[in-house]
Amino acid sequence: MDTIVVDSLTREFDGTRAVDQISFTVEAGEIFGFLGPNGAGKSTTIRMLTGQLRPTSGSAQVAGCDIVSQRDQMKPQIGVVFDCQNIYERMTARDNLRFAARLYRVNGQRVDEALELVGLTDSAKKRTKTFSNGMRQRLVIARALLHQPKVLFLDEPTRGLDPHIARDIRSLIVQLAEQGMTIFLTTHYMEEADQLCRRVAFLDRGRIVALDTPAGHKAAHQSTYGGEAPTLEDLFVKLTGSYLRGGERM
Amino acid sequence: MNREKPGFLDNLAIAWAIGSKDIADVLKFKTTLTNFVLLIGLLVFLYWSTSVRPWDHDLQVVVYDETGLVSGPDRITLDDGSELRLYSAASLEELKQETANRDLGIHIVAGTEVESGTSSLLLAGYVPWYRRAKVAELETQFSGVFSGVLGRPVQVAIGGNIVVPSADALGNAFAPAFHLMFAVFWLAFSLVPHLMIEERENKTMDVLMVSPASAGQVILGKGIAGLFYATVGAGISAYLYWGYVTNWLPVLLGFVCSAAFSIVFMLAIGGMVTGQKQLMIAAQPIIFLMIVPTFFYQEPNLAQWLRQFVSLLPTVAASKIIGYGLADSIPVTGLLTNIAITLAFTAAAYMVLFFQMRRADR
Repeated sequence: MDTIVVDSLTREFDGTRAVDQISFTVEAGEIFGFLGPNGAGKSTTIRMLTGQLRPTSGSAQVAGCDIVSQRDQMKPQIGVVFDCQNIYERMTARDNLRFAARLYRVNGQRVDEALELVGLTDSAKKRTKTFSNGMRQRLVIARALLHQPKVLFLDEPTRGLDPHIARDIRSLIVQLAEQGMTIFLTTHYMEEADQLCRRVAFLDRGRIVALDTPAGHKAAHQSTYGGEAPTLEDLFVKLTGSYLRGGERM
Repeated sequence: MNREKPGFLDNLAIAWAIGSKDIADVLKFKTTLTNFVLLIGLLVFLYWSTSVRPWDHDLQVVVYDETGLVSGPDRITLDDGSELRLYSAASLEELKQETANRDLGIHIVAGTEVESGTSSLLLAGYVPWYRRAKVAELETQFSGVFSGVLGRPVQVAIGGNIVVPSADALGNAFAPAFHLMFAVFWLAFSLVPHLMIEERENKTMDVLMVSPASAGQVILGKGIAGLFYATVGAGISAYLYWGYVTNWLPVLLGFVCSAAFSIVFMLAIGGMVTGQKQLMIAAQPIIFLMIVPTFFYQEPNLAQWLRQFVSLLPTVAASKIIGYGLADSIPVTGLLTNIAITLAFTAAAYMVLFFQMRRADR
């Protein structure tokens, strides 16, 4: 069953198409990689799928809800980890989650469960401004999981983290997907996408230029690499961002 | 998790969750806490500087001598170092008018013992309305003072002679009304836009916008936090100036109008400015337009056209509404006109806010 259904989704800003008629589906329990260079339209797509931005045209359903007409019903069913560690720094970790629990109308017991899930129980009473990058990231993940969403949007969840924390977060992502949560992942780490994602879409200048399993992508381009399977990074460089290297600008 | 469609109370609960978070946050955020503490300090200072304090030994007494027999110095220094400054009034009306802004009025009545030269003297005393709770204490105090000054037993009888300023009186009589409005406006100004800007700068606004909270609930939450602190500021003002109030209804109405306008206006400002720097730039015209006129609109020598112009400002209108609660009567037309002015400005600010929300939703 598809948890995310996107059909010809388009968003224009002052006549420029940031996202250009993209279509794809994501199954329940799937980790879906959404890869592209900076400015390709990843964040705009996430903002539309999470109800922060209205599409110019096209449609999408997330967790069975239309992102425009059923946005209020959709919001409690999604969790979002942004590409920045946006937490309330003057509050403790527990208070950050308690506040989120009140917004999502979830039981206070979930706060402790979420803190335990990300290994922050011992730091629950500390003000978050004293937290390291890794602790902050674990806290924003705990906040996104607090209400047990059906779909989790992760925007570069391991960026700038040390390898230990990044590995823990990747393990958690796999564990959540195994439990049936749908994960929509953007990352600049191609190895991470290769390791985690069942399917990967490459986005370039607002358009999906390729969508397949990592193995499928590699097999499709093997012949152009002298018979050797290319890495996802090779394909990312080949398929996207030509304008960043001096080609035509969007 | 409960995934039923939220009802009115659930919506209110979300707004309250945001509001209560901000109420606590104001006390943790150096900028907002400093603004709050400064305002409270300023209110106490304004009260201290415009009111008679227990330790004041410089008392102002207006004297209307109907007999024309008592003449003396315009300044009397008592044994304990206290000083009475005597002001002469030409009529009973002037005595009453002046007493509203002084400490005591004395009416030396023709045909009393002062003319007969007997040892006992009865003076009719007048007190300003804000000292009416202390009439008995003042009678005793001033009887002692005047007995000492005149060298024979004197009884100052105040009775019901309490001088309440008329609603159209000019001067400093209504300064407490301005102080209360100022507390509400300043707290709204110094807290509400900061709360909105900080959410945007730290990108926690994105967290709110993907949560079940709507843009309206976020704004309502900020408004609740602003209202909480505006109520605290107004409460402190009301406590300080308790004795000045002759009718609480206009004071309450004035507070509601001040709070409604200030908070909606500041929410709109918070939605327009993108950072603290822009807010500091916006602060200057806001203060110049909204606060400065409330300082001088009661100035007796103000040009009529300027008084009429500043009377159209919502902050001046709100001050006037509160001021009616300190006066001897409530002019219904004036009350309704000033309520209409503040509500019209509140509605205009709400329209700006509404369009900001609509635009943010696209």
